[in-house]
Amino acid sequence: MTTGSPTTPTRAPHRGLRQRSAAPHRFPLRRALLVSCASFLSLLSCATEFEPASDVAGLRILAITADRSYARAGEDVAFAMTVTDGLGDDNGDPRALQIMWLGGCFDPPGDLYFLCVEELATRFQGLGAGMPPDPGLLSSSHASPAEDGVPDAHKFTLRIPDDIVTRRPAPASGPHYGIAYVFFAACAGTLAPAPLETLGSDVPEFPLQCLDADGNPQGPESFVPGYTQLYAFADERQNTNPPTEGIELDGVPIARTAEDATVVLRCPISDAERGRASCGSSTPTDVCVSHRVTAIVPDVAEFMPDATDESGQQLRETIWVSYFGDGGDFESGVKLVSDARVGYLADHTVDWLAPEEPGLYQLWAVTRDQRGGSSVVRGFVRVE
Amino acid sequence: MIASEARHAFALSLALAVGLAIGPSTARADNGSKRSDAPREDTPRFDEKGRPIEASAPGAANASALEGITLPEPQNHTQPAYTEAAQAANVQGSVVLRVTIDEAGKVVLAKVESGLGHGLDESALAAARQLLFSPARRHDGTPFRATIRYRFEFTLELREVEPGLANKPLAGTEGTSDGPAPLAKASVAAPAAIDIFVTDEVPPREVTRHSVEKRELERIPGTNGDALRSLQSLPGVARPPGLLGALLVRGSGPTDTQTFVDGTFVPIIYHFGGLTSVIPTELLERLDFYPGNFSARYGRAMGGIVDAGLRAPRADGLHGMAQVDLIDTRALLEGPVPETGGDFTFAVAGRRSYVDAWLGPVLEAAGAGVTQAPVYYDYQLVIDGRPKRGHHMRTSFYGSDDRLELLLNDPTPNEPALSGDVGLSTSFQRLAFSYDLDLDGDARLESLVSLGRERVEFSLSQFFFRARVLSLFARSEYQKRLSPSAKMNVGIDLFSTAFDVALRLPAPPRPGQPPNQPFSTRTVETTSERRFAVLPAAYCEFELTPTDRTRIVPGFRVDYFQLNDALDVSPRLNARYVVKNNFPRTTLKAGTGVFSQPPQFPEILPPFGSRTISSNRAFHYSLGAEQELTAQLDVTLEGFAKQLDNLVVSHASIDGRVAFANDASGYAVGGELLLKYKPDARFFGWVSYTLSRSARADGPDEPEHLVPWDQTHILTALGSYRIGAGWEVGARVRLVSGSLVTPNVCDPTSDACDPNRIGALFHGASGAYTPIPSAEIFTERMPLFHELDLRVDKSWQFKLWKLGAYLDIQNAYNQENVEAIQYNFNFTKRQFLTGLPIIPSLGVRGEF
Repeated sequence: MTTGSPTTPTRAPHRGLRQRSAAPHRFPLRRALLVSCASFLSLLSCATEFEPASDVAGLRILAITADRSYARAGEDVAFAMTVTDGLGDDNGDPRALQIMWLGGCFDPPGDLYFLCVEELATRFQGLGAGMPPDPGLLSSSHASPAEDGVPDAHKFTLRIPDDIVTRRPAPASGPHYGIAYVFFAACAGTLAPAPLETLGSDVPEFPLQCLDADGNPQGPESFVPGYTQLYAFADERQNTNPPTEGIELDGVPIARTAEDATVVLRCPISDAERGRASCGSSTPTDVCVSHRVTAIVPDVAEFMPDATDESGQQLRETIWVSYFGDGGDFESGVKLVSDARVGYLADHTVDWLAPEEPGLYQLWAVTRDQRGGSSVVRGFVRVE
Repeated sequence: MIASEARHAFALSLALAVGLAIGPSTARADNGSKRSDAPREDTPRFDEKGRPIEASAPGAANASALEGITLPEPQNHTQPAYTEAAQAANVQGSVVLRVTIDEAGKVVLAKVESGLGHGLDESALAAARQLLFSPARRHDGTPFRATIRYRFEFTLELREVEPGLANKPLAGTEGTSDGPAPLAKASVAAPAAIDIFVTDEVPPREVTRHSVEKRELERIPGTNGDALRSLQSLPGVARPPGLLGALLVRGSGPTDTQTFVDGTFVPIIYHFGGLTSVIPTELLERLDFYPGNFSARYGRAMGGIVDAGLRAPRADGLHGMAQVDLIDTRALLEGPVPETGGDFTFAVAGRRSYVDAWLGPVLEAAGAGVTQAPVYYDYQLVIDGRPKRGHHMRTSFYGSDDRLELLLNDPTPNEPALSGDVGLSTSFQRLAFSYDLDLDGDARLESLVSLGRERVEFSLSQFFFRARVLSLFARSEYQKRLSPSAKMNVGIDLFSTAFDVALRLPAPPRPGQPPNQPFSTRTVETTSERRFAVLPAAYCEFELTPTDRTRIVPGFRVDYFQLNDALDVSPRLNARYVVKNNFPRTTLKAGTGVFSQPPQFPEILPPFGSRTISSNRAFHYSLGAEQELTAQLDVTLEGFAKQLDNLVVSHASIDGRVAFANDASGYAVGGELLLKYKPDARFFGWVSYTLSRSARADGPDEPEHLVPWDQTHILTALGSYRIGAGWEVGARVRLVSGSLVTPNVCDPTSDACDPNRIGALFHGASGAYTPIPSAEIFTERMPLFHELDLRVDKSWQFKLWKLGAYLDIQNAYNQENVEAIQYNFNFTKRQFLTGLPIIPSLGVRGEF
């Protein structure tokens, strides 16, 4: 597991303070697609694109890492959260956060997480009424701005029940397993129980809300609830987290601390101009240097038990890396590192354009496998 | 030259016949296999195998059928040219045409039934189109549209040659079977020479059958001339969303409607994305569509039935066709089988798509490595024969192949593990043999056996599905007229399949169920199964005509499904009553019945399925009326209701998997209106409107919800007009209620939409977001779909061949119709995803 420095950097104004355009970021590959489409379907209109997931512009949980993504019955599993506030307060500094963890939902029918929500709501309501929390199943803490963006800064440990597997009947086919759900939330305000309400069939709304100083519920830029799952198999199979050994910028490792931040030149194009280009037109990003960002992930994909393709070839776990930044623009936020059939893909580099505003910025790389394993690395870039 | 010296002569022998539409009570001249939808007399009729419907004996045998009917009488004589090529080749004989005469006595359709080639067929057609007749009339004097057989006889007679021309013994002479004078009238006066066949109007066994005729199939705008795509213009058929090639009939799901080619079940009818169907229009004689209450002959389906009939290849010499357009290229060759005396004919055809030429580069530009660009093929071989009178046999082989392979290097944020190699290929082949035999005593035996092979392979990252299927389908039906007012159809059919299925997939979620997590991170099931399944069935149906105006078709079908040891009994009853027999005719019709559909194989086999589940069941009810408005214009109004129960649905299981059970129920109700102008020499068109509602409840205590393909209003208006000089123009307008979706983000234009709502949960194990639906399932309807399609055809007739060109413009005003909602990565924003833009398709076609 790799962690970054807890040093609080002096950062550039947060993305959320700037006017963002919903228009697409333009890169050669995307342009080629659009030009091809436009030439073939001459009257096809241009659809607006959303902000990419790699663009950290609000409160974001970047990763939930379990120290073992496949657990054994009866053992303790430590979960860690990496969270950053891309919106910030009026000064552009990260806001204080309340972090909550809640475990205790095991083996819901059909493995459906939302069948835990009613129980979750009852427990939240009990907490709101002053009932004591179940020891070992709930944790609530406050995160300081210094912990903003620090990989795995917020921890929670859950004891896996001894009977998590055996309480379920063995299936007619496939592996015999149990499943544990852990819910969590990050809130730039104060967490409070919410009435259990169902808008969509089967799935209730999340029974927790995040209130601002005036007691008003906050939106997704300030409140991120979530859940994760942990499998325990009867055959006690294990899965190792895929390591992220670092991030390279144009082939050079990025500094892990703000003090040693890697220096790049600003891209003097405003967000509005970056998004102004429309289908088939030239883009202003051509005047900027496109940097190559690479997460250093070794070839660690494991063969999965009893997993073969249609020709009998053993399948590996799929591994991918997600890139995030609180400044600049990534060409692609997710890259495949290891394909289930092909294996390791050495080229999982993405292009990154520096932001317009000078300052200190953070880049993250989160490597995951399909079995719940993950690891996080953060680097710092100073834009001049 | 011999030709120039030849004295053109031909014998015009009107050995003719009258195709008559007679009422149900007089419809007994049929051989029992005739079908028709509404009472109608518009075109030649064909039975299930595409055979012309004829009486078994000419003249007297049909006298009773023709009693009270006035036959068309020729009012003029036109003389076809005896082509120089024919004379040079000493070609003589008969060109037999099938001529349709409208209520005014004009020839509106002429086709070569058997020809001589060398330009004589075209010559005869040109002459026939100039003929004028007195129209056929019913006993009350009402004129009606009729089809007759009309024969031109071309003979060359030996004439004295001039000295020095001894090497030119033959020359054409002009004459007729009854002498040198034009025979138009004389022939009618010679009934012994009349070869009568009856294209009668025996109503169908079903309450409703929509038949789309060949001319319509080829010319409906927006379909690129594809026959099966024209089905979407018929009442009761919903518009499939996006590029989904599916048939959604009267509120039933995509898997509830079966498609047959020449009576043989086929697993798919459309190539990739529904762009085109697997059987080319050129090989089709007809397309019959039963939206409900279908005959006991059909089973294992609770939606509708589509039966595409392959046509008999031409017997009048070798013919061919080639067509090139932006989607695909195709070719067809047909003619008599050599050395068979014309008793056997053949057709061979094939098609290959061009989609790889443009979609491949587009996909590559999008970042996909294209290993195998999308491509499809299909191919057909038909050998048709009538070895002797009353016998008809057909052997056909056809198949289809679709392939696509991509390499996706960039996963999407919400399905990060779905990347890498993506492969999809589907193929099927059918080898079918049918033999129909007219037996003595008004009996007939129709038999069909078909061997099939199917292969479906899909792979995406760590997941795959592979199915290899061998199938046998056989049907034998014995038809017997028991009395003048009763006919029995009794049959057995057998569907047997041996399949080898291997898969590695997550369990399928219940339709409409919110996702639990990214699909690619769900628990995976792996299996490899080899099974053998037998589904035999027997059915019996009676066609009863207790009065001149009443027709009742009770039926009974029993199906057995060996895999779950289930027996399904399906009684059915259809009835028609002619309220007013004279023009304008009024007919009432009604039907009810039970329709069973066995579970899908994944629902009954490991790892997901259970052998304890039984068949889905539907009760169909329909009530309607057909009304002639004018000679060309009919209107049909029909209401329908389907009560659905015992539907298979999945539930969450305590072992973490899903379990299937027959817990769901539902209904579909609606009304259909069809105003149809029957094809004439210039125009065809119709307006169809469907009002419907289709809902399901996924369990006894679960709330009812609409299905995603529920489309309240479906309005289609289309028409095609022959301007002249080879030009034909057409247009189709569609107005359809939008599809239903389950929104994950509320409509921001709605006052009730809370911008601060948390619409998704962060899924820690994958880094993706799991949406929380913002409303009940399938409650947000996409905006109204509307589209204008245009088509222009131009044809040029040359001496020996014909050239055609067309421009088919789908979505002519480039309407951005909404197909779905697209969300950002954390489900805080949404936007509409629109469908196909304007698609012009230019094609060129040559035929000889």
